[in-house]
Amino acid sequence: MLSIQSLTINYGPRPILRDITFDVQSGEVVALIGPNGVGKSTLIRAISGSLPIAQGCVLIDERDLHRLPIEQRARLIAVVPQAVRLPELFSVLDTVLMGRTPYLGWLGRESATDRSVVFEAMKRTSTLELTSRRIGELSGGEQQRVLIARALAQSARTLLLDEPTAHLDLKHQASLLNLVGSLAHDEGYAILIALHDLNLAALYADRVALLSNGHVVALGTPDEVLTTEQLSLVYGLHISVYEHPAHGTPLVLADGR
Amino acid sequence: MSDREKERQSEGEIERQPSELSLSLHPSTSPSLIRSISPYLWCGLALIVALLLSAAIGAVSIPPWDVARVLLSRVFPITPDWSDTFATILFDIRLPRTALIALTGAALAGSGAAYQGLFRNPLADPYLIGIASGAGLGAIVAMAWQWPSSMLGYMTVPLAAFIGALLTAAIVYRLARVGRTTPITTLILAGVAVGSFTTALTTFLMLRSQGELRRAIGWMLGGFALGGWSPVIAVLPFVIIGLTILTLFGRPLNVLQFGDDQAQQMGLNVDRVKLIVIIAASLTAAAAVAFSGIIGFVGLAVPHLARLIWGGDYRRLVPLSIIGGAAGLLCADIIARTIIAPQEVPVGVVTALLGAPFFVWLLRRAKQQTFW
Repeated sequence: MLSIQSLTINYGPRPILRDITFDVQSGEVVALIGPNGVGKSTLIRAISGSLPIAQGCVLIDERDLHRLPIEQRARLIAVVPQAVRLPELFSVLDTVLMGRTPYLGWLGRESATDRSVVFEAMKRTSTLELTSRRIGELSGGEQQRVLIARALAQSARTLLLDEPTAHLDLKHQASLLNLVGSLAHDEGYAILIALHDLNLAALYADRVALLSNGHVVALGTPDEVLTTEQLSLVYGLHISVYEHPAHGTPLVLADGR
Repeated sequence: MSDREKERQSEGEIERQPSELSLSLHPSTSPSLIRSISPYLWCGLALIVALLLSAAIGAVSIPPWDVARVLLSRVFPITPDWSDTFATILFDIRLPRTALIALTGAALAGSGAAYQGLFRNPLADPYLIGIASGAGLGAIVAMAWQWPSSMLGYMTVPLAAFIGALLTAAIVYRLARVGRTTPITTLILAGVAVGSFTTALTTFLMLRSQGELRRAIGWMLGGFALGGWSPVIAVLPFVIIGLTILTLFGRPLNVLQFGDDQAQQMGLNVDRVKLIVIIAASLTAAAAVAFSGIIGFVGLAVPHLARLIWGGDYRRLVPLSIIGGAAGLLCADIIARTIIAPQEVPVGVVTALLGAPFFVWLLRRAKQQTFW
């Protein structure tokens, strides 16, 4: 279980995220939503330890993440970044093998166990057929799946995903989020995913955390959080929420005029 | 937690399918083994040929075959049928120089590859980013203080060059950093600024110590002005330590190519890796500069050719650059000695004449794509 407790993050002298507190249980997908620039990526980076934290702490199974050495941290939590500006010349296999970094000795030799974990991760993400391809040759959706495979290779039970669907078409968005959902629901991963598409959050997340002005202003099921009043206030324009005809989940439409 | 999930997590499932795993992860073991060894064979072969030619060519030319036989006679019982002057020329004049050039080339190309990985920048090179000039300043300070005559005196030159290189590397890195990246333009500009400054200081110091001016100018241009085995022995430990560390850090350098954030999230201690690599690379580059002067473009061109031919995996790129760098600089030195013989051109002039156009070509390529 991932537990974020009173997290405050400064950008220069002023705080951009204040007193953020929420949990992500094992087996659930929590979506992080909010307008552009509200600090979704910042929060992900801060949780992973890439940004200094002004106050508060992040616990994984009662252990303070940021007091652990970097290798141990990477065994508990893995991050799937956006697939942009990746080094093009590495093969898919080499890239996924890099997920084993926290388990390797100083000479960096991969053991049979490392290889079998990598094999499982690639099977799970349907990237086995890409094994010897180079990263630069892949489509955006394939690159994103390789990055998920790399995160799974870390054998961490908590995953953070930073807008993984940003550059994908509808079909790849759906297959990627189905994979994310099944990792949580079938295999018990705790997953926090930053999404800017509210309808994807409504469809795939178990709970939603709405960020605004550096705070979590609403936290709950998609039905509870994605309401006309709340969204209109946070996004600063009139937003209508209907019922999804097939799934019964909230369907969000912006009234741009 | 479901039963299926428990099963997946258990080690049992993993151990049941070893053949399937090795098959799918290594579709063809024997051809890939040959493919992974052959770059070393090619580079090694080029190095041996370059070594023999370098020892053979000179005012008195010794056939390469005789060079090989004289060398082998030290290990195997071969009856000498060559004149003693051959052996004397070889061991007292040719071989020390050949060894120093090979070490210098290996050090420049090895540290060049490491700097490129460290800055995640294809155009980083000990010369272009000013580190060679910084090392040169350190070396000149040591030489101006006391021209090396004892072994201890010889050792202080690479040590002073190391301090100069490390300081320059730190300053250039600070200046070039924009947010969390080191773009090509700021890196080269910072290198030019810091490099010009240290070069100016070096020139000033050389003018002050008038007696050594001629020797120092020859040294600056990479003329291998110091003869004998002493410089080789003085440089050897620095180069071996530095290059060993860099070779061992191929995998961390690979992980670093994904950027500091991702590398750290994958469990790499980014700050520690960067510190170790920059110290090892500066140690190596400084050792090269200490007795061979400032030789440009080797650290740029050799890793690049290796990358174009054999890909960007630093586990192979660093050792291949080391072997290729030794071979490459030996070839440049052969050209330098023969092109207007009996007069000798400083080898730095040859590498610049060949390397600068290559640099321009890379710069144009870098605009079109990231080839990384």
